[in-house]
Amino acid sequence: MSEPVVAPVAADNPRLPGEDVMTDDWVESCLAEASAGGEEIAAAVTSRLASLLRGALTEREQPGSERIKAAQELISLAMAREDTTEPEQ
Amino acid sequence: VRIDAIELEWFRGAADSVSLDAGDKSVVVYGLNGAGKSSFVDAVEYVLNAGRIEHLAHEYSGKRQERAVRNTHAPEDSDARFRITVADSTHVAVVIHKNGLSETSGGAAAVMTRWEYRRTILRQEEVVHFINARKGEKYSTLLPLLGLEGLEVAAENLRQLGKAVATEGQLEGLQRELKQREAERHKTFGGASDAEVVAWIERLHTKYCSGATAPEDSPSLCGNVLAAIEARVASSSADVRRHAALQEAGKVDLEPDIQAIRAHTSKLAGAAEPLIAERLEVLQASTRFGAKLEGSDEIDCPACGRLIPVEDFRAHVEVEEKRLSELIAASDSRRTSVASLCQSLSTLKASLTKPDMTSWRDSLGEGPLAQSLAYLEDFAPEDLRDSCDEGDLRDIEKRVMPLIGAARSDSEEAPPEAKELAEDKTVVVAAQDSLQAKALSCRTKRLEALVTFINRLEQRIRDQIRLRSDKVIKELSADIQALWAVLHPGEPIDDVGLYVPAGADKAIDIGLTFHGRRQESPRLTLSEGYRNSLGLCIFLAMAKRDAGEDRPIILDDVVISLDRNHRGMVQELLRQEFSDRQVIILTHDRDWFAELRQQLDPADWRFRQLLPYESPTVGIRWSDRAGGLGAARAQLAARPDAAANAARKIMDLEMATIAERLQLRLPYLKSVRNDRRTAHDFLQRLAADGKSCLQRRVSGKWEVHEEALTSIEEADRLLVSWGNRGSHSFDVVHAEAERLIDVCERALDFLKCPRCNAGIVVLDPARECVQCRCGDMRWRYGKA
Repeated sequence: MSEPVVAPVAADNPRLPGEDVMTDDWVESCLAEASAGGEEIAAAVTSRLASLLRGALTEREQPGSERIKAAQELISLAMAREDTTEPEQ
Repeated sequence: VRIDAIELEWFRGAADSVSLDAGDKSVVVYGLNGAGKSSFVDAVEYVLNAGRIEHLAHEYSGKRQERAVRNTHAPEDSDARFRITVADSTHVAVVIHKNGLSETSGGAAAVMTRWEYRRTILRQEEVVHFINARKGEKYSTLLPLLGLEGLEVAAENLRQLGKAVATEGQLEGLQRELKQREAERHKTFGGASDAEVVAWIERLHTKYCSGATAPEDSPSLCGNVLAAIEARVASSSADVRRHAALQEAGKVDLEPDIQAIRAHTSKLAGAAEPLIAERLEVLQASTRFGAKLEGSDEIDCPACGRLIPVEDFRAHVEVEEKRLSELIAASDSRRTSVASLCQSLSTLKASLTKPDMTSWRDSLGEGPLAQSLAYLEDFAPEDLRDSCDEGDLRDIEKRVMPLIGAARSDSEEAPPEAKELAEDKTVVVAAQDSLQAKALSCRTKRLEALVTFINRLEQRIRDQIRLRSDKVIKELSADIQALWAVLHPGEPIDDVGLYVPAGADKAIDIGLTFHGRRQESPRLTLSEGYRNSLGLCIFLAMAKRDAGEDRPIILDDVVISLDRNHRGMVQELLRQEFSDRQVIILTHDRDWFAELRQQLDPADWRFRQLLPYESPTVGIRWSDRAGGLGAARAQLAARPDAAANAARKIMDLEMATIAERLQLRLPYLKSVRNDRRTAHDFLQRLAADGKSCLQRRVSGKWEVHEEALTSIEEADRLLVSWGNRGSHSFDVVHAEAERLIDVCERALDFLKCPRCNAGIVVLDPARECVQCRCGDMRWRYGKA
């Protein structure tokens, strides 16, 4: 098993003084690791989550109304997959 | 970026404009308690914390702290204001109105808000609080300094998002329904696969739809077979039709739904009363919540109203959420069971009221079953959806279930054809339900996959937090230990540092080795002084992590509980580790102030003294001299005797500090007198030994510093006469006290080099003498 690696970070983020933020590469690798070995996740869902992670999710605690909106959007993206085949029972 | 000046006007203790001029240098400010030192720190905090000053956050200070930030005696038409100028000549100016609303201007605001409070300002009470805080609080305090706040926010947002997806997608309801359908499928088909179920229906298609081609899609296949079975029943004899209906009625099973409804009702009823009582307490607790949260270790939980520690709050809310969710789930399940019961009763009613069943109904005569049948005919199953209580369930059990029993019993004598038709119909309906559940299953699985994915993503971020905090904590701990070693050289307390307790989430604590034994907390063994010293090291290690940027470090009365030896090492620490940073020290410890003034290089440091606070209208005032006797001079006009007494006390301290540096040898005195030397003891010895030890360089040659010795002798003489009189008989006139202060100041001035403005503080490498920074004045050890 490979050693865990501390994520590379962007150092020049004026929004969060003294604090680095997740780079695009790290967000992508994080999403890839989270999806590895699990059920297949629609590309639109991972793309939306990546966008959330790069922005709103790291800035501040997300208000309830925004969270519900994001949840509904993710559900709708997850359900909109064309492939509706169900594993054989 | 360094602070050039902090100018206050009617802000906190200040009245008319008063300015702390740092001029880009480090500064030591001395003032008695209440002199106004912290007002300057408060101004910096106000900018760093967007208008909030933490130690003023209490129930009496007002929503915007307006009752605490403004001088109590400010004129009606005057706003509180301050201006902080930084070294690049930009500034931030803040005007705070009476109602607490404020206006901020100036380009330095953007720079200063990036400094971060906890990396910039350390106050004594914060050191104590941090050391004594629980490990969760320590984590919260250090989180922004570790650079992990964004990740922590992301992880928490993902956790909440996962829950929101499950709630919005009604995942629990879907899972329950799917489970129910799977149970029904298993009852009919056992462990058969979808293909085997379809093959089964295809065989029935062949049996009932002879010659027709089986449709490829499952819903049409099932629909066609079902229609063919219904047609076959319709074309059969009356006896077969009746038995087919009896078979259908006999298969209705109300018992599981009735039992499920009872179980869920019981669960809801048991929880309702305490729940209502708790919700009432919640309403009361919520109103007190805001006020209690500040400065208290325990709060009334807004979720349940119980008194709980603040750090347990989140966990407690989670438990409450889970409890409520379980009740909601029970409520949902009950609704599902009621719906299922309605469906079963509708099916039963439809079967038993068919025209084909007329003869069966007639056979029931006038007995109890006939009454049951009449009850069923009048019964509206859909009404149960609005209200289904125990009385309804008992009626159903008493009146309807015997009908099912009778139908079941009579159907046992059905002709084989009727039995076969009924069984085949049951299989097709079950297949239809099962295959239709595919879409439900697909939605459920996708929702589950989405929630799992979000949870795993949260876990990845939590792993990353752990990795990063381990790394940062390791680096920080090395720095803390290095700083500790300077403050406590050769002491049996070492390996100090931060650690993440095993198995703990969101927790940090402080570990150390005490006389060779590992300790998990400084609270187990360390005295208050040592703990505070440790807190100072942790804060300075944090501040040091910003070594790339020259920003100020402000220490407000942080050595209050350190003993003399360790306090003395603080300036050593600052000199070794922070010589490239601007440090602003505020202290009410005159000894330490005198020591710092002696030891720190005036090229890099300024020394300012505040006068004792007189009144809010007079405000904060500086002494006109940094060197010691300003506080005495301030009392000259009103109380000359008090001024003389103050001059004597100041000289006691100043001379004790100088005597230690020069290693003056004084004869031992018995008992406590040995520790209570006065300025007279030191001046006398200084004057005597100085004839051979105190030298200055004139035209490249060393000579005895006669002027200094004369001044020292004169100061000693006046202190013995007027100083002591001021202390004991209060019989000192203005001219005498003023002369005493002048002479004492001159004596202290002579003990400083006129060229480098430093005292005699630098030990020469051969340890034969101690000298000023430029080397023009010296004191030769062992020459007396």
